[in-house]
Amino acid sequence: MATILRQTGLVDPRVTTVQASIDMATRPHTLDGLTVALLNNGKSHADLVLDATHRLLMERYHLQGTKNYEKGTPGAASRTFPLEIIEDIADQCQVVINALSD
Amino acid sequence: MTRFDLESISNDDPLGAIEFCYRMGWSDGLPVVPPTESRVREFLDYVGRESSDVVLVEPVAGRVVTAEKAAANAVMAGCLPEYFPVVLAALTGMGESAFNLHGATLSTSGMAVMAIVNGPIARELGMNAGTALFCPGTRANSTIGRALFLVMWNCTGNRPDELDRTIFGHGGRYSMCISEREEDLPNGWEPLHVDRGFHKSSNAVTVLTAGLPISGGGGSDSDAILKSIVDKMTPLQPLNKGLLMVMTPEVMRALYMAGWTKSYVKEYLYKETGRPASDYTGRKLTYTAPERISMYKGTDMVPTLERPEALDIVVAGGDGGASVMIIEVYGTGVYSASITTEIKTGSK
Repeated sequence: MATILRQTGLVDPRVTTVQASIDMATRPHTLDGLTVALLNNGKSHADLVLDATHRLLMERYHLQGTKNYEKGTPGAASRTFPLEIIEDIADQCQVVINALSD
Repeated sequence: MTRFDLESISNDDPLGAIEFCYRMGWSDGLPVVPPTESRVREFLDYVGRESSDVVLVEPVAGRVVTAEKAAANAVMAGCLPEYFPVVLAALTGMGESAFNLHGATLSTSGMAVMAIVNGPIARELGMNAGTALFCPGTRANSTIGRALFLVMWNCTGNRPDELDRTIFGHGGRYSMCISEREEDLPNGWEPLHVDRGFHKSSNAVTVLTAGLPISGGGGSDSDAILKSIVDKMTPLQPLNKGLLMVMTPEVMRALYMAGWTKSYVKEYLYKETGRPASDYTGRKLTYTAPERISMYKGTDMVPTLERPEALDIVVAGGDGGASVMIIEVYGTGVYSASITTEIKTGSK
């Protein structure tokens, strides 16, 4: 067994590693000219937060545009985003704002 | 005060090993059986599994729980090797996408994973299905349920210093594992695993994310009992997709003798429980999306159950009371489904 703690003869019961670690994306210097994904994770009132954020972004930056995304599945807030949505965001947007609220 | 350090821990020093497990943060707060290599190997050999066999993959962080990790935690929980097939089957169910392990066990809601064991194995392992059903005291019930929590604690981040954001939680997280009084069921009243498509002679475990049981029931005849159940179910959030009712044999017999089948009971409770739509005007429902009740207007009754089959019924608990326990599933069963998995015992 690979996970025996040598000094003790005990098997380590923990899983502490994840499948993949992902580096943070490089942050842009400005939002001007970019397309921003507004990501609603399904918590109630997330739409209010995103609407307000969208309004402020439009006032302050010259965005290419925004795109709204929702998970759209029951219990969405506690599930991962579907892969096709993530891929669409990666394809269409340069910045993501993810909102959740309650 | 005894001091412990790594060098002092050995099989000759069981108290030291227990304290070591505490210091490593492996314990749920109660003493654990130290997961020695030989004991973990015994568990793996019993089920014929390799150390590296994948038992479940936590869907968000992608943590992989192997048979070795599951065995180590089952050992710590105090399981016997013959309990391990039940633990493995339960973990398999918890890994199903519909179970939604991440949300169901880490959410602010604070549910506990509950396991219901059906089939001959329950009696073979000496599981309690009767008096003091949800209480400590029976090794198989206590340690199988505890093993499931320890896997979550040590493997899938179910601890406050990692991913758990549960506000209150409840004591069921230590262990919440029961079996059904199948030997008391009359012809035509099937146990839970048969409702789920398994043969009566097969062994299966159902896992669900359970809130605190709501005690109800009472009454001297079937009509009175059913009305008292309606009273308990009506305040629940509407349109449940998953709800569990544990009823005593006394309740089941009263219903059965009056001509009620299990499916009739479900149909009756579907029709009789609910609240008028106007009750929900201006109220935020945590789990029932507004569009699901928008079709109901004014005095229209919004059913507590989305459909009759959304209610699972298990016969268990002590004698001497026409009692039921109603157990909500995380997110009214919309966010998390209960999963029944066959217990494989043949490979030992």
